[in-house]
Amino acid sequence: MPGPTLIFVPAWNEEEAISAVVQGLAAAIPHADILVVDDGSTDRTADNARSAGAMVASHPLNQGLGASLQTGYRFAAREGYRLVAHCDADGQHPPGEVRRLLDAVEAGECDLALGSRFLDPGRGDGDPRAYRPSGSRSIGIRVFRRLLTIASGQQFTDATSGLRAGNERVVALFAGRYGADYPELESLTRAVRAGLRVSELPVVMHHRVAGKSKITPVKSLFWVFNGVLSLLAASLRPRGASR
Amino acid sequence: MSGLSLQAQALASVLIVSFLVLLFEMIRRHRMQERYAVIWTISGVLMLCGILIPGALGALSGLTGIQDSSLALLALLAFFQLSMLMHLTAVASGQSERVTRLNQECALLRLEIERLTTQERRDATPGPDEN
Repeated sequence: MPGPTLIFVPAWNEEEAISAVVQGLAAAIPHADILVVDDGSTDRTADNARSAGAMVASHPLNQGLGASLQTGYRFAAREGYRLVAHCDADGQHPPGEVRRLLDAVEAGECDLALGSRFLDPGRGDGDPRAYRPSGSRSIGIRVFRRLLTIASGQQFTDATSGLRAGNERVVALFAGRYGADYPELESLTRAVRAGLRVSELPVVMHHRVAGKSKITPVKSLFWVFNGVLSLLAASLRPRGASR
Repeated sequence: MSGLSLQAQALASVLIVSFLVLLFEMIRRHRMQERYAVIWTISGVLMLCGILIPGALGALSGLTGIQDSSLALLALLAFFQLSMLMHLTAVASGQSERVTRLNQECALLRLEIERLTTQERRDATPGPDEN
């Protein structure tokens, strides 16, 4: 039988970082099951994750972040997990911060907890690995923060954070549908409009432990375009709708 | 009259009828599904009506404010092409969603098989008491 807590990690060609991420999560949150959603990797991501002790669900084809996250939510719904969290596979999200989010949801403080780099900017002071976004990325994040606040009607400081935890209401909502390409903004808007209690918690994030970022300038442009479009569409759907 | 010369009418009619025949043949050979042929058929038939029914293109010219009947016909053609592209994009989006769902199910089934196989191996291995 599955434990009540699942942490899933979407991963695409992260063979260098994935073992440390899985082992770090297992050490910090020993009661949780860990699932790596391997999104059609062409390297040893799946083998390394398995060797580190995680369950692995491998997409035969690369489908993107949204589909990988939805696979995690589907697995959670199917297996009856009541508490879930997901974090990046590149080691940017410290396991201790994942645990803090899970604790907040388990304590009933919110349905969906979102890790924010900007809620307490001083949190990473003194940490040499603390992540600080570049100038251009900061501008983009600020723009989306504003748009997300308008679309959802709730104030957010870190619209693009991939570090989240949720309860069974979140699992039910996102297992049914999850944005395909650039899902962070649309999913938050849907959660708020579906009546879920969404809270941000201050977290520190690190630079990736290994490998290279897959974000390119062209991808960033697509990200901006798709983000604006999906926010607009999400804000025009009826409130409380599950799709 | 439609406003087109007899020669242009004949040429356009032959092209459109050939196009409709090709469409039907593709359906017959299972190279196109009926559901995707609807918009092609409608546009082909409407174009044929525009060419063959006297005054149809003239009425279209009057409606759109395009004085030249040939240009009105081209505008109609462009409109149908855009509709077609929109339709095909919608079809591609739907197919993409289905592929994603299949991919996800495949990943979850692979995991399930892996877990069952591991469990089976564990069950088959004699414990220390059974030796």
